Amino acid sequence: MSETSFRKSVYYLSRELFFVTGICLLLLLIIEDIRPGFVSFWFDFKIVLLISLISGLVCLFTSKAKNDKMNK
Amino acid sequence: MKRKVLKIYRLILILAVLVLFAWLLNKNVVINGQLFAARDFCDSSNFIFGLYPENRVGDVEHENGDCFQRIFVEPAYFKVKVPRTFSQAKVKIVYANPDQDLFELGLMKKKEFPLDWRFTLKPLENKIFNNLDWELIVAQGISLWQKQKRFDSIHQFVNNVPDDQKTATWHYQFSPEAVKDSTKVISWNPKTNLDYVDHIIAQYQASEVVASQSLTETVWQENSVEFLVGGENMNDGHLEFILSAPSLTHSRHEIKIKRVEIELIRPATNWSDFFNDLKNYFLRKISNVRNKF
Repeated sequence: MSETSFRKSVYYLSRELFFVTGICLLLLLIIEDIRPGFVSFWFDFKIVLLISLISGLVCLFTSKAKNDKMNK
Repeated sequence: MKRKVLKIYRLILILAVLVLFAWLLNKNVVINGQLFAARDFCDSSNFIFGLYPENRVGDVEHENGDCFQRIFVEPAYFKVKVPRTFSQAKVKIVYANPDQDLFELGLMKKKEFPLDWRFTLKPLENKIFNNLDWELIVAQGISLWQKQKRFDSIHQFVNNVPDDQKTATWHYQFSPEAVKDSTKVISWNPKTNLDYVDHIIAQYQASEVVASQSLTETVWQENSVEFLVGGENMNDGHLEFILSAPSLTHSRHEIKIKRVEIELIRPATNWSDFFNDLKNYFLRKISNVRNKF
């Protein structure tokens, strides 16, 4: 597997993770707002936030591989 | 091929999110009908909060591996956050009470107005009863003391309440048909002269000693109390408890609280109940919104 191909794979995987965790976080926040304690009582929001943030950053830094392909 | 892998990956992620939501729902609905929470004062708890108000209790103290809070001025309170309503609560308190004769735990009723302080009190400790050298029978959380042994069981006593001798009750009520002469049955209080009492019946069981610290002379005891709970006890998503020891403040004694355990019980939820509850929840919310407008 070439480096570009690897970066591309990481980009797509992290992009999916970023979208899903982002939507999940939004839903959890909405639920928490409607019914306080429903989420925060049992689960730490920070976990989802952290995954979302890390995947977002990875997505950002690996997006070069995709852009390179588009520019060619 | 790559697209297929990506689709499977996306599906796994969505599935993981759905599992998270199902887990949260299960936790909040308490499908199995039982919720247990404990607070050791060495650790914090999401459910059981510390004692308050601050001016009546001390900070959390550490002493020979034990963590506890002291109560200087009574009553003191603690709150238990619950995700939904339950029908029964079993509360266990581990405490050290070297001096106070009476120590009680109460569950607060729903506050209808700011100064509404109504509690259902249950006994944790009664040193006056514990120190009696009378004949004692204990069964199913009920204790019967007899100055001179006359009955072999509580059942026998309750079905033949003597009308020639005096009986004192504490946190216990006879059915009206069981009492032949109501003047012979009195409600016990700390001022009751036990010279004129022949039997005492109480919904109370003496606490057990769990540990003793020889260095600090602290004797840790534990006792459990059961309450019937419901919507009428919920205060803003919390159950609120009171720890009361009459005359603690006046006699300048103190009580240490080391551990609080609570087991909340409700009937296990099945799917039809779950959808009914969900329907009722939304109907309640809609009517609340309607009332606001």
